[in-house]
Amino acid sequence: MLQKQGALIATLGLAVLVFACGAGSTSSAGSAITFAAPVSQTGAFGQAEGLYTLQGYKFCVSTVNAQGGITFGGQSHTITLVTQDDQSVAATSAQIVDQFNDQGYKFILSPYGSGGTTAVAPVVERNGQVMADSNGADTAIFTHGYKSTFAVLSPSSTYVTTIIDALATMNPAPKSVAIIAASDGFSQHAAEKGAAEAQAKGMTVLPSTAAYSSSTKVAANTTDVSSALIALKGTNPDVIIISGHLNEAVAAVKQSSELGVKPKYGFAATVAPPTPAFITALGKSAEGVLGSTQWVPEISASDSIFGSAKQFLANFTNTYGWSPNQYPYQAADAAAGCEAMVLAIEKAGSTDPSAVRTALAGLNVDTFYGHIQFDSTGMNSTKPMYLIQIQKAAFVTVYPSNLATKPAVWPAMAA
Amino acid sequence: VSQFLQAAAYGLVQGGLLALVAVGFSLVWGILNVINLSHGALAVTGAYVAWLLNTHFGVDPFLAIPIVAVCLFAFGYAIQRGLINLVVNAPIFLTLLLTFGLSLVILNALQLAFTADDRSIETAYASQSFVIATVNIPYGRLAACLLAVLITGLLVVMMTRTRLGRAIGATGMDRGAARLMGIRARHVYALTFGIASALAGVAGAMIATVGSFNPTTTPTQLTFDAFVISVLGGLGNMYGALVGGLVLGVAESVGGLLLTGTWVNAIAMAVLIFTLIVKPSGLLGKAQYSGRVEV
Repeated sequence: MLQKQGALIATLGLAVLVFACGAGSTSSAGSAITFAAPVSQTGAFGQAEGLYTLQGYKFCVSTVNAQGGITFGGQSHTITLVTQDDQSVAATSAQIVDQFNDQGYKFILSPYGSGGTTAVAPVVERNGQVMADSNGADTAIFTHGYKSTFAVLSPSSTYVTTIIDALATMNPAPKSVAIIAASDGFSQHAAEKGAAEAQAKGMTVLPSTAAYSSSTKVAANTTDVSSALIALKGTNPDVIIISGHLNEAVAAVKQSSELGVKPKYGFAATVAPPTPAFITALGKSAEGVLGSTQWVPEISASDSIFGSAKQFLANFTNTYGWSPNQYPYQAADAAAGCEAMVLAIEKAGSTDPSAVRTALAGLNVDTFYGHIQFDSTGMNSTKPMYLIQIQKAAFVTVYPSNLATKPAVWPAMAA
Repeated sequence: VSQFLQAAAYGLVQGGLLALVAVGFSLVWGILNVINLSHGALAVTGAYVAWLLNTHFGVDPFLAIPIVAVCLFAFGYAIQRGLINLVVNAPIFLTLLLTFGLSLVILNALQLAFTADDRSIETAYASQSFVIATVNIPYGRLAACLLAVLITGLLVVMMTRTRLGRAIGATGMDRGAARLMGIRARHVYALTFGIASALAGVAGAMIATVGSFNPTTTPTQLTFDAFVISVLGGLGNMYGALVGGLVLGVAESVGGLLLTGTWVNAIAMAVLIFTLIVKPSGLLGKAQYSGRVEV
């Protein structure tokens, strides 16, 4: 009996020795690398978009660390994620990133939203930090010649144009649209491009083409869009599009009932519909609302970290308890931004911010999120956007047609 | 024309909600000569009480009003009796600082307890409306508006027909003389602040029903609205807050239609400045409040 135990111990010891030698021959444990992110955990974005972004970052870091971390120079480096709540205030985001620099944190994952990212980008530039922008889509961010900010997501110019392109393929196709736009740069830019696209597709923009910047313009993050809805009363648009974020879109759908300003076919919005909080806030009123989105799990894309888009969805929703039918796309944006930083550090083979910046600029990879390749301004401008519709409290991909899982319920408004 | 009528109607019912926010603020300012910067925080506290009752016990926000009012009355009474009474004779800047600090404490406590997330109370009826001609009147805001009218009426009855109301009025006019008549000023002040807090709480419950609220941006906006409406309506008249609220609601709604929705605060200030130039005591204000005796 004792002999058997001794043999077992010897075998186990040998196995450990062999494993240790084997591990040593590939990579040893190197120092941890810190990714720092000023993410909204309270305030206007705290309940939804900021939370999703934070979960995306955490999921990316835990997934990479579970696979041994970032490997270069024969060593594996685990990632430490440092986050701080910016309270959904852009100026606070910038202050936090300055403090990160004082603490020696050079690799920045962006805050949620264009406002925060716009405030952070010059700070990153000044401090010699590098930022992977996961959720700041305003193209204005990329007109300043910054060299250290790289956005994985599609730019703001495509948020409303994607909705218009999808509407043009529907039956019946709308003849008129109205665009309510928040006053922030992202929403205004998206609306401007959307209005032009609508005209190009032969749709009438009500009450006028430039109304998004006057009568149907509302304060960013407001919970009262009555002035814009009253301006639309009597114009009877086929579709009302909200170019904004969660608060404005929820307010528009809610107050349209109060004011009797309902579109003939349905509502569409940027950012808000593909977020679980939109359905929570509106309940049945959310049914049929269309929303442009940065990512859908139906795309045929994969990588070695997260696997395929569908695997990412399954693993992410399992980890954070989301229903696979109500997944926050912002988390995929965030994970993709984090992944871009990981791949750039591996490619640079160093944690020197300048080398990582150069590696990011030359990144050309396929991921679960789609293709990531930055143009000279730092935008991932070739990535398309998609359209979902809320059907029976689930996000259903309806555009483009080759990715659609179900046909759109159209017209979406009950007669 | 239809848009103008809709904006005016929506502004009127929205104005009623604003009046509900302002009536307590105006009462405290008129009687205690305290500009209560924690008024918005008290309103949001009321919103959370109603939200908790609705979320955990399914209590309809309108049925929750008595509970909210009692909770906030007790809270307000305690604050005035234990804190603000200590400095009520001090220069107005000290009471401003104290109520500002109080607001910060309340809001930070709310943020710790509930986070800064937006909340709202979902009901089947609040966002529905009925139509008169082409004008839609939303049920939720109309109910809040009628509540404001009812509460203002009750407040007038209380102030003019009851011993308590006359004691409050007398203390507001001349504290020294009121004391000589046997009125316990400290108790009357605490009652006044308690009533104002209860009204703020009820307003908060209504805001939670027809819209949404959070402990970061909502209180500031409510205190701002209450300040503008009180000055606009005039201190010392219970109807002042009601009229001020309705005027401001219509001005913001029609102004938002004619300009854009991003101009509402500028419109509010423009209306206030214009009124103060034309009638410095406010729309329904009484001159006696500027010459009252503080002993």
